[in-house]
Formats: sequence, C-alpha cells, structure tokens
Amino acid sequence: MYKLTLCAALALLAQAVFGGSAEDASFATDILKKTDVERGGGLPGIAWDIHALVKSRDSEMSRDVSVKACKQDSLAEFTAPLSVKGQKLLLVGRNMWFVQPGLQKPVPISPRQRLTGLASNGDIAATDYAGDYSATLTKEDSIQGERCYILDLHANNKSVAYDHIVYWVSKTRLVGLRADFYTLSGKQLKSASFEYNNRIAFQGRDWPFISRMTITDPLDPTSTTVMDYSHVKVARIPPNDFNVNLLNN
Amino acid sequence: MTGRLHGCLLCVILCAVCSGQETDNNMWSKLAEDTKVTLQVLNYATTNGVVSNSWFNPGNHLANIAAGDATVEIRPDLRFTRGILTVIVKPRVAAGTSLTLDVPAARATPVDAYMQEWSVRANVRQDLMLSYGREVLQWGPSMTVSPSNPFFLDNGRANPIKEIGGRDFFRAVYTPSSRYSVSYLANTGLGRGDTPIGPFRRIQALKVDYTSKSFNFSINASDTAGSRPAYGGYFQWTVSDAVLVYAESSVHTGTGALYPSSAQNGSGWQMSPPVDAHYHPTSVLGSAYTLRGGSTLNVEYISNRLGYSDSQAREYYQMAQAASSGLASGAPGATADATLLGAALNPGLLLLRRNYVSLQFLRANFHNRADLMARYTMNLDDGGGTLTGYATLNWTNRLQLFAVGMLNDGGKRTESGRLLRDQVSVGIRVFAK
Repeated sequence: MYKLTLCAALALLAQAVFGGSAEDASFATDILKKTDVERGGGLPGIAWDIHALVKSRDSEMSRDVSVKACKQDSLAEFTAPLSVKGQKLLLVGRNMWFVQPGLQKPVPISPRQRLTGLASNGDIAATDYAGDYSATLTKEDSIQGERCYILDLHANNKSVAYDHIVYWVSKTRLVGLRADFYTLSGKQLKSASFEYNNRIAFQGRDWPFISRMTITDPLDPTSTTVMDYSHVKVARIPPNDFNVNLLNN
Repeated sequence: MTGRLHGCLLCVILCAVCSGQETDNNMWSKLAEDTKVTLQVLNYATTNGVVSNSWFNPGNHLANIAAGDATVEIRPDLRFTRGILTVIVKPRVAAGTSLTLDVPAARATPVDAYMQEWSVRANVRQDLMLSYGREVLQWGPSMTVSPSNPFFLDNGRANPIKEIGGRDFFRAVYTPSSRYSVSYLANTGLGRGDTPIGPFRRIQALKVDYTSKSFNFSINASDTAGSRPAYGGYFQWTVSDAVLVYAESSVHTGTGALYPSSAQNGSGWQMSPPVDAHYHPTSVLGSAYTLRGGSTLNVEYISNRLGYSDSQAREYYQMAQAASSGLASGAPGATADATLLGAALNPGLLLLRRNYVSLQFLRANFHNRADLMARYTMNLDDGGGTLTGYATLNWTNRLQLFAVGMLNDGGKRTESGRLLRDQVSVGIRVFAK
C-alpha cells in the first residue's frame, strides 16, 4: 500500500514537473535513489550470492560469487569454480583491490577492469547511481508493454566505470528495467536488462530486489553474461569486512 | 614463551570448538560446517641458467643451483570460524628432486613439511580484531617493491607460484569505519624462509589507513630493536575509471644492510653496516592505465637511496672479483672469501642500486581463462635489466597450466648479471577442493 502511494506520488510529481529542469533533475534523482535500493545501494548492509553465466560464440563458463555490501563498499568473494575459489574483490568508494589466494598482496585495480565476461567490477557491487551520476528525465517509453521513465545519467566524476548511462525505470514499479552504457565519445559499450523476483525487508517494508541482470554486447549478440542473484539478506556488515588489511585468507 | 603462547591458543581453540554439551556427531558436523577447506597440488619443473664465471658464485660452488629440478607441493588451506574466533591453518608439504646430477645436494631434504601460515583471530568487537600467528602481511600499491613495508622485502608480485614465507606476528586492528583503521603490528619471531644477517630483532609498527571516495593513503612508523625508528607510507588515487596513480615511500635512519669496504684482513675487504646515521628514503612513483580491452599497463620509477652509489658499486664488484679469485686459488682465506661472497649476494637490501624504471603489461582474465604478465625492470645505474613474466591458463575448472619466467640482461658488473641468466618454471596446478 505504502509502495503504491509512493508510486502515485512520484507519478504525480513527474506530471507536475515535467519540463522544469531543476525539478526534473531532482525527481530523476529521487527515482534513482529508490532504484539503487533495489540493486543493493543505500542499505545499511546487504549480502547476496551471484551465479554468473558467460556465453560467447564458442564457449560458456560460469562463476559463483558471494557479495557483501554496505553503502558504497562491496566485498565479492568467488566461491566456484575451484580454479577461482577464494579470489576476492574489494571496492571501497571507487578504490578497488583484487586478491588471489597465494598472492598475499592486494593488487589495486581500476574500475575498468572486468570481473568476468561482460560484467565490470562495478556491476557486481551495490549500485550507487544516485551518488555517481547526475540524472535528467528525458522522455517516456515502453519495454515489453511496461511504461518507463527514461533517465539520462552523466558521470559526476571520472572514476566511475561508465561515462553515460541511459536508464529505463518502470513507472509503476519504480525499478530499473534496462540500462545502456556509453563511453564519453558516445560509443555504446553494452546493454543490461534487470529482473526483480527477490524480496528484501528494509525500513519495515517489503522491497523488490534484483534477481537477474543480463548483459549483452551490442556488437556481438552471441556474447552475453547473465547474473542470477540469490540468498539476498539485509544485515549489518562490520567495517572489518571492508578493511583491505584484513582481506587475505 | 612462544611454546606457552601456542599452548594457550590451542586451549582457546579447543574450548571454542567443544563448548556446550554436544554429542560427538553434532560436534563433528558443526566443525565441518564452520570449516572451509581448499586444497591445491602443484607440480612443476624449473630450469635454471646459471651465470658462468660469476664472481659471486664461482663454478656454482657457493649457491649450488641445480640446472633443473622438479617439485611437487601440496597446499591445503583450512579456515575455521566459530563466533568471534577464526583459526587459519596453512600447512605445506613439498617434495623436490634435482633433475640433473651436477649438483648432488640441490635440496637438503627431499621432503619438506612446514607451516606456511597459521593464525588465531578474535573479533573481540565489531571494530576490533586481535590476532596472533604466522602470517604474510603485505600492503601498498607498487608492483616491483613495497618499501613502506618494514617486515617483508619481497612483495611476491613477480612470481604467482612462489609463496613468501610467513613471519610470526601479533596484530591489533581497530576499524571504526570502512574509511579508516589503525593497526598495531609486532613481529615476534623470524619466519620460514628468513635468512637473517644477524640475530632476530623484534619489529613493531603502528599503521594508520584512510580511504576516501577515490583515493586512499597509509602511513606507518616502525621500530626495529636496536635501530632508530623508520617511517613509511603510500597513497593510491583512482584518477579515472582507467587511470591509477600511486606512490610509496619509506625513510630509514641508518640501516642494517651490508656495504663493501676495504679492511685489514686476509681478503682485504669486508661487508658491514654503515656507521653513519643519515636518512635514506626509498620511494616508488607509479601509474597504471587500463585499456578498454582489459589490459593494464604500469610504469614505475624507483628511487632507492639505501642502494649502492657508483663508488660503492665499484668496490662491491672489485671485492667480489678478489674474493672469487681467492676462492678459486684455494688460498688459506678461501672460507672467508666464501663468507664474503655469501654476504655480497644477500646484503639485506631491497634493491642493490639507486635508480630503476619498471614497465609492466598485465592481461588478467583473458578470454575468462588466462592471465598474462610481462615486466621489464631496468637498473638505470648499471644498465642491466630483468624481464619477468608469467602466464596461467585455466584448462578446466580444476586444472591450471602455468609458466613463470625470468631473463636477466647485463654484464658481470650489473646487479642482474650476478647469479642467474634465466629461469623458467612450467607446471600444472590441481584445484582438488
């Protein structure tokens, strides 16, 4: 009920402010904040598992990852297959480190380095589009019959993985349904679609939570990465878990 | 003292495991639930190209490096967590044999069993962790060397197969938020693989880390028994999604490293610590750029003021030449010459000279199954250089093929021309569990 009220209020607000740029941006940011929660952002702490299936023209491989996230910090630990088990990726703000079992020194890496397949390191982390991007509401469109706001996101700083994102957000459910990722020069890097069949309890309410992210390469339709999210749990994550000095072992 | 401490820790662990009135079955099933195990088996062969006519290893009689050897290593890692306690145990078994007969004693013992790392950690509060055990503590953004670390000279970045020997540490890490932490670190004993050039000296350090949105830095002050305090630190800045800039530095007053000088003894030379107490900064300035395709290029400049100056290097090579000749002639002072050459090969320096440039290419996760790294480090003072690299290929989810190589370039009076001309290891890693 609360959610419907919120949707209605946001929809009315959209009607009222469409065309006014400052309000437009504020409304777009409000939408982003909500959609971030449904992708792990803005929560006091959350954990989930990802099963990533990477397909290309001639090969297929999978990775299992356990993720803990709190605000802008995420820790991902590979759990399968055995050849990558124990590898860890830590993101604190935009700072990133990678650890391999046996190599005790955490290696600093850039946001551009890829996790696996088409997924960048940032893709497995909790989303903070509201903090990383300036949003404007450009128009409305439909995806598979569902009306969407289309948000134009431009990076607030150079350290984010994508310079420009076009983001489709469902008008009724207020969840991100699709994102196209672009370079500064306007070249499309990839496209992602999202499904929300998980549920989480937060602030006394029941929220939808991402259950699948499908990433495709616009230049190679046979290349896809599908990430399935499971075992989603809202829980406080101690700051120790995001301390790079305790990342080994 | 150490034995008593280990005994107390064992009691704590057993109490934690056996707490409560549980049946045997329950206890074992809980133990299994709380324990994570990984097991790797490595089989590899190594060829060593020894520098012929080396002053530092004449006739290969000092270093006794086999032209080739084969090694099998079993590496189980166990991690047990119950409540606030975490116990980590990493025992190792290695068996090796010389593939060639020219060096009969390439290994003192054919089978070597040892404890690579173990530790007991207690998260006494959400923001406070205490630990004791044998660990490898590494930090800093640099690829080649990590001067801000007072505990380990080798940062293990050149060879992903080799494990750096752990040292005994007590640690207290206070992390009030993910943005900053304060650590007290005390090295309480020598670890495996340490080749001390004197008696063990306890090292304590206080380390503060801060992480902002796009940069992080760390500073530390360390105190080595019998030495003046040293200071170290680093910063790392994520300039853009593709560019990292970093720097790492340390400042020592005086040093325990050995320097050549003439002496009134049989060989006429000695290796000894300097008597001056000047500041010796060692710094690394580097940057990394990641291409859209995923490859990363690094460049680093290393300034090592503890390293030998031109005149010290001249004396160093003169000393080595003289000691090598003395050893070959079988003169009465041959034992002293051998000792001198041993000290010359391991003078306790991070790097022998003062100025270096390093370039690295890294392609991680190539086609989701391979890692490739190539790095060339040039000694700007003597013109020599070292090319290192590795390649790993995940053949299946349980089997990985790997190759690690090193090629030294330089004459007799270069750091890279002292011992090995080249070294290649190829092998297979089995991920058993």
